[in-house]
Amino acid sequence: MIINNLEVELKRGTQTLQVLFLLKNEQYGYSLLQALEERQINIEAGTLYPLLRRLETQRMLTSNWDTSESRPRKYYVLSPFGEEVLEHLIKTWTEINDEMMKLIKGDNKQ
Amino acid sequence: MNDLIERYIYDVTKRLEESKKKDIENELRANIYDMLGDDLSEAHVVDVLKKLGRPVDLALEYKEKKSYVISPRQYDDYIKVLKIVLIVFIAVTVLSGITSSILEYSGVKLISSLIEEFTDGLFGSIFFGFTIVTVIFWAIDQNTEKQTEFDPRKLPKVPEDQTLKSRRIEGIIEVIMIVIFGSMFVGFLITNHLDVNIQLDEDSFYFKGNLLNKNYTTYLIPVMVVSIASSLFYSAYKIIKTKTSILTFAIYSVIDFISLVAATILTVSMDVFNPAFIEATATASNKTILEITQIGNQIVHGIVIFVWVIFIIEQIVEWIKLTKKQKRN
Repeated sequence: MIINNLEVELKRGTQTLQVLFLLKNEQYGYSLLQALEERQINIEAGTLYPLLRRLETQRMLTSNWDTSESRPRKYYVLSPFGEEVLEHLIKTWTEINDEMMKLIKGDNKQ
Repeated sequence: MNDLIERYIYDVTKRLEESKKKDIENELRANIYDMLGDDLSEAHVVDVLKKLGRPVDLALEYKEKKSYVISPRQYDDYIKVLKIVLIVFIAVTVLSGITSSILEYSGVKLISSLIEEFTDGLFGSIFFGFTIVTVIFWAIDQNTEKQTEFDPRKLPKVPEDQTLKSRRIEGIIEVIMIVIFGSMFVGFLITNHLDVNIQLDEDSFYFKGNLLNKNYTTYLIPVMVVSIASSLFYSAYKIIKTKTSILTFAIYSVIDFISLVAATILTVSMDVFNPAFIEATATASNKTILEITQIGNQIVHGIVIFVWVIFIIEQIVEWIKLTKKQKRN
């Protein structure tokens, strides 16, 4: 139970990064959910849809409704500001990853 | 099946801000139908809605600003104060219930009166105490939300005795007690009404009318209001600053002293009780009006001495605390 909670907490921090990364190309909510599942990235639908809305409010995504099909769909794509944020987050993620690898490898040597 | 989906969407959106409802409703509907694909069977709809989670949880995810009556940062203090206030309220209600029942009834009537006092009075006072504490904390919460920058230099000093309650909690409890008992006392002075039925052996004494002399209450009410207001400001200062200074305590002491002197002069120089009440009491107790007046004066003078003693003790304790603190700093 404790391990599971810690794992969920750890993964939660990376969800925004993963979503922003996959939204370099235009996607609607469910197609994005499937794209995440294909990559074994587990994110609940009930978490993803509100997250998309928050990212849009924070100007990281832009959206538009496609009403040409029988079912209307809201498409999201990274905004120029979102691209900047993504670039920054990838850099941070790489640094964290390097630090962690150094830490783990360093500890293994001892 | 549409019915289940619409009920789900309604249950989510009814918890959201009006301005966002329509947008989220459309988004949610589109997402649900995408998740359903071509299979619109009831089992599949249920499955998809379960994946989205309980409406209340989904609505919480959609809310950008979490709303609380008492925010988590105030919650611990809130619970501490609530416990103390409720204990005091319950104690006061139980004592006053027992006293008034014993004075008014005997035998079976006494037992039924006690039960009635406890059920009605206790629920009423618990509800009242809970409301007052919640409203005061809500007001503090609204005020502290505006403080933006955290300044470590303003942190309160670690008390020498760790078991002492913080000044802030002390201040909050004082405010609550002053508001409740102060308003009750002023309310009593304003209404100045007594409807009493006292059982003395075989005789029953009934009086309905003003307890106190109207001229006396007219002068005493503003004095009490000033005194209560100064106590309130002093306690509020403790909550905001989480400390007290010699200057603020000196101002509070001077105002309180002047009010107390004024109240004493009024009480000693004027007729405190309504003459009709004195007369009725004399008739009921087979005593002369003079005797009853003397007993009344003794009681009133006793109360005045008691209040002065409390005032002096409070002053000595607080001045010792403040001067010790001053030396330490």
